[in-house]
Amino acid sequence: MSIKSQISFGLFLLVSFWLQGQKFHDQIRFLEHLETLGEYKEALYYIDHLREQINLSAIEQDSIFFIKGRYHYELKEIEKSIDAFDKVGMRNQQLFEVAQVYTGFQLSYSRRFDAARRKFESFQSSDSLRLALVNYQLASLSLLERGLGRFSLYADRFEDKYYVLSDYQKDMKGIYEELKSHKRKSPFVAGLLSAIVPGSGKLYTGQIGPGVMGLVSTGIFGLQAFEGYRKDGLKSARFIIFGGLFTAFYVANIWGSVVSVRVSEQRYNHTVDEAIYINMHLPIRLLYR
Amino acid sequence: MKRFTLICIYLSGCFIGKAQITGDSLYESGQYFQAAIAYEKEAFFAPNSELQDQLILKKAYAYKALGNYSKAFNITSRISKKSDSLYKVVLYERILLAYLSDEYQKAHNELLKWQVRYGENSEEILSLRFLTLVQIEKMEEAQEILTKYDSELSINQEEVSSLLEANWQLKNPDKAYMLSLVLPGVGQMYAGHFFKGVFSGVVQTGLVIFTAWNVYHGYFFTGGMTGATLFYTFYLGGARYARNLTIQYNDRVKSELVNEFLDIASKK
Repeated sequence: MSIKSQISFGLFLLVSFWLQGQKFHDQIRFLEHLETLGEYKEALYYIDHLREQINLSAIEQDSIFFIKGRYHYELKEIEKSIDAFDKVGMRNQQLFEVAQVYTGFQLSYSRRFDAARRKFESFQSSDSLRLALVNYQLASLSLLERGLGRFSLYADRFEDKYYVLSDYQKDMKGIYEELKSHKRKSPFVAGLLSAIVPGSGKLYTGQIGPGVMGLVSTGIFGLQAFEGYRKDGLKSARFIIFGGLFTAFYVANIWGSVVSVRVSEQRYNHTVDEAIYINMHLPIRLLYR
Repeated sequence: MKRFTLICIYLSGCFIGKAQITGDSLYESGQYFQAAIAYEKEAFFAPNSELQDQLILKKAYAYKALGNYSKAFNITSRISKKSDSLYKVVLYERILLAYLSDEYQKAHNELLKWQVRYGENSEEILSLRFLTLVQIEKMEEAQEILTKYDSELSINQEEVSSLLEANWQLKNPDKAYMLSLVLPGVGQMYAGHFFKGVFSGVVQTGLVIFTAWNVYHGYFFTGGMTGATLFYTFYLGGARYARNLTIQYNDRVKSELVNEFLDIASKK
């Protein structure tokens, strides 16, 4: 092979790699533009089209899967997002690590706590901020599982030196204190209270509106039944109808108060979980969006 | 080696010069979503803002073809409208898209912008102006368009008088509500539902009699609680129902007018 042809072949390779790199760079710029517009569906379609059209290098594939994972995350398509993040290889260590954090959070959000914990516990990095973030995520995950003891272990490792984390760490400690001081209401007490004064069981569980409604509706039928009894006697149709309605409302109210303990407990847990999710999600968004 | 190099260059040429799929070709083949993305990409890499604006407008057309009118409307907001001819096209589209996404007040606002710039009697928007005015219940202005601009709308006198003879009379929902508060059932009658009005009136009179009978015979709790509570519920509910019936009636009147106008226009 002559020197001339060797040089021309070398030049060809250089130009084609440059062209390919340039092309990929342009695609990424366009995807960022779609992201700015909030057109995640268009961006995702474009990514799939791109993968069919261009032979991407392994490292470019990683970037593409990472972007795909993020766009599905923005669209709250958790399964698809996890699937894309899982395909991000270790060639670019930073992308790989951030993908792990996103996956861990989404597993926590979809309440697959064991898988989320495994993901976070196996996390390795040389970046101290990322390690602190994962420690924070593990602490939050413990609160989602209501493992208060485990939370303390992770919280002991909280550091104040990271500005993006310190406020959220404080908030998470606040949620921990709230959960620690929370006392479960007793279904028996709620039922008993409603048996003595209709509706008071619901007031005890914090449901003021339904409690008052319980008292008023039972009271209305009780008074009418009493009126029927006083004026027409025990065997009158008026007493039987209103007495029956009163009894039905009275019993239903006791049962409703017992059930309302479970409902209010569920509502409480839901509110706490939502607060935890928001505090888990925000630092990830702040750091890696 | 030389041959190998040439083959490589030929293949790379094939790859780089692969037939460009454009937004236009995708649009023509009915792949509107894909066309929208292609237009967006072409706009992103467009060498000047004028071309960029045209491509964004085409993207709006693609979403319009998909039936996503409100999104298409929002996309037109991104057009910087530098040239006057493009401004006119975009403004027309914005009026149409706002109308199609049932946002009639928004369509009217865009129409006012048009009128300020191109005058009240500009032919292109007369039909849309008529339709929008009917939808926002400005009936007199809509009738004025029919009588003043019949030739611009290319409808003949016969069709104009047929349209004008149609039912234009809207009813006032608040009046229906008030009427039912004054005399239960009358609001429904005003809305054009005579028997619903009678039924409502009978039920509420019955409840008043039930309450009075109970109180008269000393059943104060039954009269005060069951009778009065039920009466109060039916009384307010009936008035609200009368208001809703009037709104439904008005919608019917408007849609009949719009359909008749569109029937005439589609024959041209």
